[in-house]
Amino acid sequence: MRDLAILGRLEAKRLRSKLNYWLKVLGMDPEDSRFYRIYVGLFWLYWVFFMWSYGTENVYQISRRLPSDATGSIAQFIPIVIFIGQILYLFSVFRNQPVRLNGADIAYLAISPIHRGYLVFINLLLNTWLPTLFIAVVSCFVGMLIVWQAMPGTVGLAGLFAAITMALLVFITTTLAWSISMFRLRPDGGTFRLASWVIFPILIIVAVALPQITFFPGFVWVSAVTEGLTPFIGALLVALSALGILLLVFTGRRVDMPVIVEENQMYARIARLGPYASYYARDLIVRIHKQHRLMKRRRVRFALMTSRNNFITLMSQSVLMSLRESSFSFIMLILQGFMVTSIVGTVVSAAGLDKIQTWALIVLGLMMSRRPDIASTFRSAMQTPWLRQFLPSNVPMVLAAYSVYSFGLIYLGSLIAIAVAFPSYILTGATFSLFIGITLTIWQAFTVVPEKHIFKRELQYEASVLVSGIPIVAVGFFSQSLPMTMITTAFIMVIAGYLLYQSYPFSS
Amino acid sequence: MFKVSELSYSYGQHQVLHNLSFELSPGEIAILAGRNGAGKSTLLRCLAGWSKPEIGGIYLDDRLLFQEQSPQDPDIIFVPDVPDFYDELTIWEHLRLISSIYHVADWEEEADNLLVAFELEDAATAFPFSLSRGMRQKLALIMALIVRPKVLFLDEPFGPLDINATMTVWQQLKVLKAYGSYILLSSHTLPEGSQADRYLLMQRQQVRVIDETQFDSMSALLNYDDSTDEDANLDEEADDA
Repeated sequence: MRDLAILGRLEAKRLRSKLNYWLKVLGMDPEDSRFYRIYVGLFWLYWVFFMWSYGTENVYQISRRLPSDATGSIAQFIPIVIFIGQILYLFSVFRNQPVRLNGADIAYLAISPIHRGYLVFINLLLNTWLPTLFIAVVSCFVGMLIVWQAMPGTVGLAGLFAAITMALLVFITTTLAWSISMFRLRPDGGTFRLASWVIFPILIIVAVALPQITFFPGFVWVSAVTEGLTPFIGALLVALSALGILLLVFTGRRVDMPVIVEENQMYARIARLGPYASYYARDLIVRIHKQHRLMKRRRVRFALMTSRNNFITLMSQSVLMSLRESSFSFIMLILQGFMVTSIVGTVVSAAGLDKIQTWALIVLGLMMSRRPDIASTFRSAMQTPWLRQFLPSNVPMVLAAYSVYSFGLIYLGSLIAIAVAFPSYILTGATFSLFIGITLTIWQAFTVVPEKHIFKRELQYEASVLVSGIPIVAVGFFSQSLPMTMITTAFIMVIAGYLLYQSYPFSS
Repeated sequence: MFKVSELSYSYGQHQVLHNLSFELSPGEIAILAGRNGAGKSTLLRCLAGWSKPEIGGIYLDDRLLFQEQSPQDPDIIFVPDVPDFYDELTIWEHLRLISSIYHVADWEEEADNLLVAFELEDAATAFPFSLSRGMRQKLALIMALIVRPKVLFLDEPFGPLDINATMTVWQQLKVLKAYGSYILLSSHTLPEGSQADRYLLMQRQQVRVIDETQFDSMSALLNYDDSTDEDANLDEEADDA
């Protein structure tokens, strides 16, 4: 217990420091006068109250519009949703162990003789309190939605019980999932680590055969919302939570700390970047994740093909890099082409080309279709002059070789979507899709190649799509003619290609 | 002949290179010395085509470089002090890739020899991001050496290397020199007992030729950490030169 107190004091200090930081962000500096702090506190209190009222009002409006039998269906559906959530969470902690340590934790706590079970337990509390709070709030709204029509007088209590019950269920689920994860990570747990994956098919079989057991947490939540949280259920949940803590401390005690430390090197690197890193250093974080994946994953058995023909060599490089980044990248690329084309086709056929909203949705869809990147290998080579100097001097060929794999698969997905859903438009759709694909590839190249004539800088992909989308939308909307729109798209493609060819390093 | 003629470059208002001229002969190893911030890296970047000089010309065998469509020249390789690599390719795949692009004959044997020479043979299947800084520097040097460039620029190549690797680099540079390559490296020191063919001092936005004795005394000064004294002494040295 002494270790628990030490860890508790340490984390309390850290929490206080974090709290001070976020209070400063919210405008409440401890060095400000007391009256000013009260004023800021009241402001945020009002904001929270306002947002809560806004949320509640929306729940009320939705409940009014729902058919009377709909809330019953939602209540029936909830246990399945909770079960799926639990399975997905368990799966995530199986894939990546859940303990998160920063650089200081790795340097001082992980190697110290402190009780590992307590370390893991405190870590669970720190990592789950915020998501638990969020889920509890959402659960509160859902609970109110279910009872508002049938029992408007008990809405507040139902919301409260929904939040408390869900918070306890989340706590029990996380402690159990972490306990299993820690048991898998004990030094002699190699065989169990592999064999334990069998738990997932077992759970699914049990869910089908004995739904009363697997969906029990969901039933408890629904009963707490509709009939109130009975003392027995409340006590049961608290007892299970306590049991979960004991189990976690017990399994955490024997955890293989070097494995956890190794896994946490990546998180420590990201944590060092600071609280806003996900905004200003997103590319770096993506790269750190990628490097971590590459280190962990078994190497793809695909040799880099080399040839006298540089086009084939570079294309092979982009294929290998894409497969190393994700073994299923080729499926994802086909799916991306399939999905974007399906969405655009569905929107066009449902809403018609005579509505400006249809065109806006098409442009929006194309703006959002950036990932996976068509020209990612080209980008990484162009951003690094050291690597670029080894590439052939024919830069248009380099772009073509690096893009052909991703482009080809996305285009294939697009063709499949057209053939399946809109077979009568196969020729038009295929041509249109080809023009758009080439134009998007060129715009992606402009994210690393500064445009020379008009903008004189690198262009944000989204901005490029918007700029090129406006004339296409204008021609399409006003002419209502597909051939005219295609000619405009081809024109934009040629202009973009010319601008790219004129820009450095395509042209010095 | 590799010739630099009246080269000027500035970062905004800050002039780094001003009407700078010098020459290198084929099969010559030249050392570029100068205090931190003198513009050595900027000069090497300009010479390699990574940065575009405001005025001036760079000539290789009387051919004006960087005037064609490509901003870089396949005959020139520049190894920066902190090179980056493809995350998804292993060391061996990096060598395979560039050997293929440069159509290097018997590249596997050459790659094996270089990996052994630089003591990287056990890391051939490793990803570069998992290597130490010194090992990454070795990989960069191997990549540069395997294509046997006509002109090779190295920015502080010995910085993160151990003594053995430093000696290996020097030996490999001598091999490249035998092929008639032009080699220019920025460094404050040379491996024990080795001599360059030409010593250049980067100072006051210019490059001046100095002799070995001056280089040796200057190395001592540059490794002395009082920058005010260093500047004053360097000025004296340069005036003497």
